[in-house]
Amino acid sequence: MSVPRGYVALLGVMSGPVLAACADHSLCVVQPAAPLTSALAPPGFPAGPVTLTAPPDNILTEERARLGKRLFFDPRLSRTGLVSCSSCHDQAHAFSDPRPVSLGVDGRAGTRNAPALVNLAWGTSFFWDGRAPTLEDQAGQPIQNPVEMDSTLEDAVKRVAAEPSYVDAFRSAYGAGADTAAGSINEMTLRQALASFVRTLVSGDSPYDRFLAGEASALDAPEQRGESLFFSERTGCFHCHPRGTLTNAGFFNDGSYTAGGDTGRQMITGRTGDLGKFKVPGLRNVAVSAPYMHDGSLATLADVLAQYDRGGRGHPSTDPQIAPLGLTDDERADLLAFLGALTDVEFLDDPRFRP
Amino acid sequence: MLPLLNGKNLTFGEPNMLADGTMVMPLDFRFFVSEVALLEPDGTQQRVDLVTATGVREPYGVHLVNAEDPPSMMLRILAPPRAYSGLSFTLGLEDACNAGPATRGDPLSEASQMTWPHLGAGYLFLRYEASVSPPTTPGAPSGSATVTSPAEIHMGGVVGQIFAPTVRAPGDFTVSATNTVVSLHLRLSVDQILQAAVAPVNPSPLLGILTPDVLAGEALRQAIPTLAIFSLAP
Repeated sequence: MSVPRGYVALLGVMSGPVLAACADHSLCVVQPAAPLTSALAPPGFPAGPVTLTAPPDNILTEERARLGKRLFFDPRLSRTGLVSCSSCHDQAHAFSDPRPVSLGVDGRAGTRNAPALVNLAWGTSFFWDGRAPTLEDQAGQPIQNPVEMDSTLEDAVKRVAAEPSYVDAFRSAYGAGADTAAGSINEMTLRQALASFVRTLVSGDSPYDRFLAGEASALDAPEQRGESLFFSERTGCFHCHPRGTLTNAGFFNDGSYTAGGDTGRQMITGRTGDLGKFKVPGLRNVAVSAPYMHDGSLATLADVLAQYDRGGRGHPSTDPQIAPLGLTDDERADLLAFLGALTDVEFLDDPRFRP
Repeated sequence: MLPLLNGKNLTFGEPNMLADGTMVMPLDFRFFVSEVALLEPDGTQQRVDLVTATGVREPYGVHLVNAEDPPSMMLRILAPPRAYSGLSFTLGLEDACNAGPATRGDPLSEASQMTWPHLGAGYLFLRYEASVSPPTTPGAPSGSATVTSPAEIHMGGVVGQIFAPTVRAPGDFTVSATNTVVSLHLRLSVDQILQAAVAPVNPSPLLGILTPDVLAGEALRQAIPTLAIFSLAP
């Protein structure tokens, strides 16, 4: 949702049409920004409003999403008061980090690339290794991770509760709450609010989305050739990135693993067969979320295609479905064109997602 | 659901040895179960609902068995109280359900990893993928051993043309009370699945999709009426 050019942008909380000064000094009516919670499922996703994706114990309301957004941008959640969620999840990069690995408090480097936060409302597990089964569970972990925010949920709650306006916002979002001295501010509602905001990060207006919705001209010729190639056995991309959600939500060793490296999913399950498996990401906005793979080791999408074209990096644990492709230069160009057509420019500049 | 391979419990995600020394490490093994009917001793069939542990009917009347997710390995039903001699079910989806879009919720969403995108519609009925290592013979040249077990089996259907098979699981059991969630303890012969998948196959029903994984799946589908893959544990 962008504000029409020539109008004074009135952002934030607006409950109805507002009179504002136009560029020609007349007065005109500016429609309010759509609520954070108004998104519908992108084409190809399970149909319905995003609110349907929330769990019964944390229904998605505007108050909760707005509160979560405020927390998302608040560095007070970290031990040093200098690192927020947004430090590593930048909207311009589809809420990912353009650095191979993120830097947390005191400049501590992580070991994995911060994933894009796009359409996670429909996710079934979170983090590259899937260790969090819900967004609510996910939301608390970076706060406590020593190389990210290095705090505790208890301390984060204390810092938030010291701000009177937060007390009001939590009360509005989660009720009076008599269980703690801080009212309804507690570790659970802190995580729930953050999850509520992340749930609203819905991207569904890329050229590919419009193509899926029936607008055949939304993709140009190279993009359509790339789309055909992507969803063919010639490349097999669709096995992990099916047509609608562009992720099968599974874990696969895509050939990025090398001996001695990050063992990924195996750290969670302990299974031999899970060595080097990582979660399949959705691909909307992939062209702006470089670098790639779990470790950010591939700088460009061309590098990604080149790795798949080689059949991975050669470790025997690589999934049997990953094999050399023998792509031609034209095929690579078409695939890159298609991946570029997954960019939703409105999402990347949506004022509702700004602080 | 207790998968058995070479007389032992199959361990998902770990190496399992076959009788000829082949090492099989399943990386993906899942299938749909739907249209469950209980068999009464007089031959009567009683259609029953698949339910969750709390007795809620499964969405779309479909259960996804996924070896990666141990809780999914249990089938639960609501059934009238009486004695039964077994059950039957569709190993996959009935045709109308198979024809529906993948924009439905779980277990029919794309997250099921069972969509059948070759055709733009429909689902896999059964998916099996494994890392397979041939038996090693001392002194034999590297790479000379023959792999006898399939690495991939993708059994699916074609809406209106290729249908999911019905399987039976014999075994006596009694449901003693109404409105009680009944857990069905099934044994599953993975050996039979793997052997059927490498048997000769009539490819004519397939629509130009003749990749090894699909041929293996169709071989399995065609063989299922002659197999006894499932049985009720005593």
